[in-house]
Amino acid sequence: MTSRLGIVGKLMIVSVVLLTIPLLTLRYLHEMHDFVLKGQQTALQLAAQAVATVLHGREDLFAESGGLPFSPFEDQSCSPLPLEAPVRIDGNGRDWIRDPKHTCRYQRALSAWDNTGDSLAFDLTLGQRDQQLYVLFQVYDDAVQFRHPRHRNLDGSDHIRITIPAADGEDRRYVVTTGEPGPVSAYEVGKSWRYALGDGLPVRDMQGVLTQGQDGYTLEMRIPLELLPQKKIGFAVADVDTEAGELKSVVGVFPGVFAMDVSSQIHLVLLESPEIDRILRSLELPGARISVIDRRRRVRSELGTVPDAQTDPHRGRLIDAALRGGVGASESGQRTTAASSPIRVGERVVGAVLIEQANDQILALPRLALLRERNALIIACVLIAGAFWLFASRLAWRIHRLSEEAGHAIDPNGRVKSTALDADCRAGDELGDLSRAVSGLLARLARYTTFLERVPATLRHELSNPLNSVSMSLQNLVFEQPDVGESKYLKSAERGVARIGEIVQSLTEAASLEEALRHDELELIDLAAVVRGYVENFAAGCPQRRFALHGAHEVIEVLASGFRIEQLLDKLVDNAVSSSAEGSEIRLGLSHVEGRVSLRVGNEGPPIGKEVKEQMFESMFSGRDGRSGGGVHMGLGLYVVREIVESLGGRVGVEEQEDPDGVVIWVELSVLGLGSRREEGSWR
Amino acid sequence: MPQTISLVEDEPDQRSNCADALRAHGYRVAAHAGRAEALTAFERSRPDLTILDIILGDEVNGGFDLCRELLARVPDHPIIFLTTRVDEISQVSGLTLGAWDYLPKPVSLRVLAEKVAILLRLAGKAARSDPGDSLRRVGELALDGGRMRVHWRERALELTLTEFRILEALVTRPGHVATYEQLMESAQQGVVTRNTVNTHILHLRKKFKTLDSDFDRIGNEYALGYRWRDE
Repeated sequence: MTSRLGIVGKLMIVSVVLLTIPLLTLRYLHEMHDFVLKGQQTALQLAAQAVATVLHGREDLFAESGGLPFSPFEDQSCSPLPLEAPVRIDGNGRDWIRDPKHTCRYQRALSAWDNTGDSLAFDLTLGQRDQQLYVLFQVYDDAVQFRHPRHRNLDGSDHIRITIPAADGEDRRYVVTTGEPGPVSAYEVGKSWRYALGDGLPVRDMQGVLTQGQDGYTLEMRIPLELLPQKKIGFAVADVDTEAGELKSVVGVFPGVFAMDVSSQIHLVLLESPEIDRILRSLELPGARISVIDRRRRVRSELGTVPDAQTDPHRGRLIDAALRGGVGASESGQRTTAASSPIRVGERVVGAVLIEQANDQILALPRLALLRERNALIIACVLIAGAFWLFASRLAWRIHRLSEEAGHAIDPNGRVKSTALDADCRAGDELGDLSRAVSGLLARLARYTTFLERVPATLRHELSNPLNSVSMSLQNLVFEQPDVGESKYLKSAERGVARIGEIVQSLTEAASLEEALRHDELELIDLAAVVRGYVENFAAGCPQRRFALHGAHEVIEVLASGFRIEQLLDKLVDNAVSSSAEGSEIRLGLSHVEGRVSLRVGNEGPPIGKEVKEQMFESMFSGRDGRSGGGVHMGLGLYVVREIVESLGGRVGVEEQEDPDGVVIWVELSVLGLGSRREEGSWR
Repeated sequence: MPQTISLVEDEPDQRSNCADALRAHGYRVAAHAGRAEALTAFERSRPDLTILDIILGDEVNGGFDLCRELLARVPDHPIIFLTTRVDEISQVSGLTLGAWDYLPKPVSLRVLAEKVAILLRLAGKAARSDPGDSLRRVGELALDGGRMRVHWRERALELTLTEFRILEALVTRPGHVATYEQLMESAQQGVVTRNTVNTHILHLRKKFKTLDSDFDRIGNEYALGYRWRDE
């Protein structure tokens, strides 16, 4: 059996299309999200430009020392402290007057693009007396690394970087380092901060002592002011935590220490530029970080924060773009949006503004929206699917009902039982049309069937009157002229009349059979006895065939009319006799199973075709092509059998007989009683 | 004085054929084509016997209706139905209407003439209330061949002429089979089939059962005929 997919199943499959709704929603949300990101990008771009505009023309802020006086601490009240008494350079800051106003703390709070996670901070206190600059570093470092005595490079351990702008515009650079706590050495170094210049000996004028403490180290230094031609100096504390000498981070103050190349990554060094800070503070943008970067990629000021680890990967590119004079914005879809804009002085680019904003909220938008609308979506899909299912079920049910009713409108014998279908007959849709069309067809079929059923009656009526005339005329003719009585033509005419009379009789029989059957009075009769008696009586009068009867040994009671059973047997046996050759055997069999008795009449003969099988119980159907010699064959015999059997609630059918080949016609009736045979021959 | 027979038949050829045949047997025949005409003639002068077709022109049951009307006027009036609708007679009311006999078409004119003669004779005897001249007893059954009277257990049974003849044939040799052929011959009709015989037997049984609900003397001999069972 092939699996069958009904309308409901098909529509359910089609309803999978419903899944496109959440997909489309998601797509729409993504569009929205992109749109918002774009908007944010533009907004950031504008903000960056606005900030840049504020800083346009302020060359003073971006000059190498611009905006940063010798003491960058002035503005923060961290100016050099006039020292009334000389300070001992002994690595102990206790002889300093620790006025918070003269102490500034620097830490890596804003070095988010640094690749280290630990904290490096230092307190810086400055003092001045007798043309000497006194510097006190209190460095907070969790792992103090001293210089390996055999290493030539100077940056392989914790060290202090000093930058002193010279008169010629160049910077002089010094590294202060030591192999152990105690006096330190300052070396003048090149741009790489690595190797000492000249003969490699320490600078004698700079002196200092380092002591190690619990949380870092303290360094006291004295630098002659004559070494500071511009009266400017920058410090930076470089932190190295391992013996391998890998530079971890650098924290410094202007003029800064910068451009350390660690694992190919440019480490920007925060430089506090108070002036820019002040300007930026008025431009604060909630949730965003504004950075001002100078031409040397040093961050001059930063304002605001973005969550850690959300540094825009494009910031390097954006800064480059801005420093080249263009504007830039990071691509959407990243976790942050960033925009940059150049800061110009005249035509010259002196720096860049970079604004970064976390995108988490916007990125989460589609997901959040989907989550929020998930229940509504699910309910909508379920409702729509449910509606589909209901609709399909109702449609399927209606079609099923229509097909059932149409199927039952005609009984197995092709009789129209009902010409008007109730199902959907008033529906205004296509099924209604179908129902009405089928009703119309049935009505036409019923008219045709009625016509066919009336053919025998009509024929009988139309034949009988002229036949009667001919018959009576012949009789009157003989009476009038007795000498024609012996004429062979008269005899022939009389035989013809008799033959037509038989035809009319059998037509009459068929025509009124249904009506007559309805008036039959049924009684309990022993079918086995009837068949036995019939076969014995018939066999005696029909020596041309042999008869064999099986299974009529017990009492099989059926509710029927005796002479109808006789009529039934007449037709069955007549049919068997006329379908078989002389001398052949006709087998009758009775058997009963589960309350049904089956009577089988089989004869030898050629097999019959499928078409004949289907039609042989129809009225006026004759499977014989006129080869039978005697008797009247109107094709009514088996029709009468079927009518009788069906009036008794039974079934009739035909099948092939094997060994010898032939045809079996079987009749099945309900059994009302069973029993063993009473006295033998009670029927006689 | 010749007896008058009223013939009601809508088909002209059959009407004239039949009328000729009856006239040839010495009867006076009043032939009518329709119910109204026949009824009017009946009112004017009463015939001795009426032969009716059932379908009269457009009236499908015209013969039945006419039969009812005639018998309402003269209850004993002998009527013979002459029709193709033998089965319908049995089903509808031919017998309960009180017709004396019915003959299926095509009819043998000889048989028709004989039946007419018998019925006229019976009618005359009934009118004179003569005692029967040929009385026959078979067990509890009494047959009066002359007056076509039957008594079962001393109670009168109304039978049509054909039924009487068939019963007569059945009891000719009680306990023996009366074959279909014998029964058909006794029915004295033009074309008699087994079915016709079966129908008559059915009616006979029914009539007996109205007197005696346990009646089962007429037994089937399937494929052969019927048998009158002795006690």
